[in-house]
Amino acid sequence: MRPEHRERARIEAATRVVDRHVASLRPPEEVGLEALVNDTLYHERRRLERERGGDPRSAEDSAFYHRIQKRLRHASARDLREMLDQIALRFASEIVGNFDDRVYKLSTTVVPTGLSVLLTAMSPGKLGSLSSLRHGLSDHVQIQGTVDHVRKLLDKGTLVVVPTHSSHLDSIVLGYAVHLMGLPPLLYGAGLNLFKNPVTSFFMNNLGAYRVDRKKTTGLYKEVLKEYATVALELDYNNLFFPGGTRSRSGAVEQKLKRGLLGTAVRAYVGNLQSRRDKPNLYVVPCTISYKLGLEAETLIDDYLKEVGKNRYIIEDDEFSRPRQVLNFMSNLVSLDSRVVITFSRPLDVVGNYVDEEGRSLDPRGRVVDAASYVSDGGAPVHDAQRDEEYTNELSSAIAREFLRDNLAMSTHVVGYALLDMIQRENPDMDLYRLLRTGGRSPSVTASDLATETERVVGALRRSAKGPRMSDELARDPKAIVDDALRAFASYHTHPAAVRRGDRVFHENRNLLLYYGNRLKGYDLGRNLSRAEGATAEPAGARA
Amino acid sequence: MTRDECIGVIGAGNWGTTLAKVLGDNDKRTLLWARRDDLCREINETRQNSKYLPGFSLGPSVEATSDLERICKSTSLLIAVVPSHTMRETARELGNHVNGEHVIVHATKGIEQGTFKRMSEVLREETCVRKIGVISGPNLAKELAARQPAGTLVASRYDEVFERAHAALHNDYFRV
Repeated sequence: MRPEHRERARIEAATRVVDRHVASLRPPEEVGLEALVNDTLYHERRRLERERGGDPRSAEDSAFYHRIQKRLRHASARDLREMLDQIALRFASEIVGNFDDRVYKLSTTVVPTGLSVLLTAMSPGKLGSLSSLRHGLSDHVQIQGTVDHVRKLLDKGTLVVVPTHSSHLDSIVLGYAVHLMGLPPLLYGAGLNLFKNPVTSFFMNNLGAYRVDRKKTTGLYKEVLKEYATVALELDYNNLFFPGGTRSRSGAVEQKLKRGLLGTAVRAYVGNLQSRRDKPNLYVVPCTISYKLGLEAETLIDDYLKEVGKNRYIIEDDEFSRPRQVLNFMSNLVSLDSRVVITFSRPLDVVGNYVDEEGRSLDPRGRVVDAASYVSDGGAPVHDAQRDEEYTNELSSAIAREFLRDNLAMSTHVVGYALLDMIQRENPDMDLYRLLRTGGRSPSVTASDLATETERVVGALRRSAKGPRMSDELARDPKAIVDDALRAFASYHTHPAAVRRGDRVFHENRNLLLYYGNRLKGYDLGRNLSRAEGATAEPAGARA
Repeated sequence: MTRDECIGVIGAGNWGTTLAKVLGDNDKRTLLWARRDDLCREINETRQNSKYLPGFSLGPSVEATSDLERICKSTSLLIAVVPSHTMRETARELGNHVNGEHVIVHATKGIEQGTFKRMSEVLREETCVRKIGVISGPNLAKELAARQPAGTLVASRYDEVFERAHAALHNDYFRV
């Protein structure tokens, strides 16, 4: 956020939240206020206990809450309100991000070229020619879909870009893609852990990322965070939210989306209408980011498979925290002529209707609808928490549908799915977890069988009405698809998912097969494959 | 909520006419939609729907019309009561006139032939309306028209839908 807006957004976010609480209190006011201050103190103290011995910020927080606690004993309603204001402002101050034009220019011009130079220096043999160096990163970031449509909407309102999330690289790659499209930078929330990575923290701090501390569990903090996003949208900052909330652990395209930040879109829209802004409309642009290889695939799928991992929301020690690993990944990305493919889906309004190029909402039959009518009561725009929550649910379903439709199936996904499916069918008596651990009766399958299975999976995907898009390499013959996937697996992972030896393909890291194959979840592949065989039953061993 | 003085009932069959009668008993201004002009004329002139609800008179606040657009402009609360096999066609027509502020409560039993979709799904697919609900209960039209005590349920994801349906239909013989 630009310096001229930072203070306004900080004060506005904190004040609105506290005002809302105070307005909802029943008399005597001090009882409710004290409960809210105490609740916040409780959650913050618990957090600080968990983080004991952490950074200097934790010590400052401890001292701050200690002072609040001391004042709490003899506080009047006015004192309590003041304490709440202080806490909310403290949260808002931490959240508010910065934007530095100079850093943005540096990152979008020098960094991609610099990265290519760096990659060449690391592995000169892998970069085929000098031309690939000249083109830099832009050669490997492919943007497709409704690019022109999105550009046109920029003149008509504020954008909320909502991408799939499978890597910490997403925000960087997407930020670069937005630059290539000629759009202004997006404001986005990044986990505090990202600010700890020395390579990226400088850019996070200066490219418009605001800080999201997912360890803060108090309701007041979450409200201030959401209100900050709302104010930013009202100030016409195009935003980026990851609606999945965190990176997809399983590798699948997100279908259960978090409604918290997403709900700020409808809230900001009502605010815009009420304040009679010239361009009150908000446009939600779903976008899928597809990688042939997953930078953090091994850590993520391990985390997914661990029972305890389901609660380990924030991973601070994954591949992204190791600069050499990131560079190795990027090097392979370039040398393999692989691409990150970003697909922009059809833009939506805040209740999930499609929007045309003029920025008008369309009903399911393509008729123009007045979007403001959804949030109006007798013609006047009004906030209605329950209604808006349901609108956000509708929006969320529409985004999930677009994710499935525009997800890009690649060779690694198809071969990962096909190979694991073959292993499962060969070992019908084993549950998935045992199979992943042991590999079943045979460590390998024949390359020709895998090619046949790959062909069947590609065929079933093409028949699916829900999507996905198919990458160019899937138009090749099945053997070439298998070769392409195996080459990619071998290029980056310490323990490749599968390797070819002679005429056989050995499944060496089945967790990774599951991770890549899961990208094709949601298309009823099991059923479609069974239908193709004329069978009625699902293949043995349901997928996790 | 008493935002709208007027309520639209889409469909003047047995159940639609009965619900219009309940609304009339509640003194709510009601526009009852029938596709056929002759049926509208009969209702407006005789206060009766002799084909679908013979023997019962509709209150003076009920007016029949075949003009869907007029209904949609007059009210934002619509009660859709057409047979399930004509719901899609009617909803598509309705879709030309409604906006996001409209609320539709349907009282049609059954699912769509062929697609097996619920009526609320059909309404969702054919109109821009989001605030959709359903009214259903162990109700018989003749008993309700005779003001025999009955209860029914309104379900929706939107609080506004059941609040407004309740405000329109609930009375001392019909508990919503």
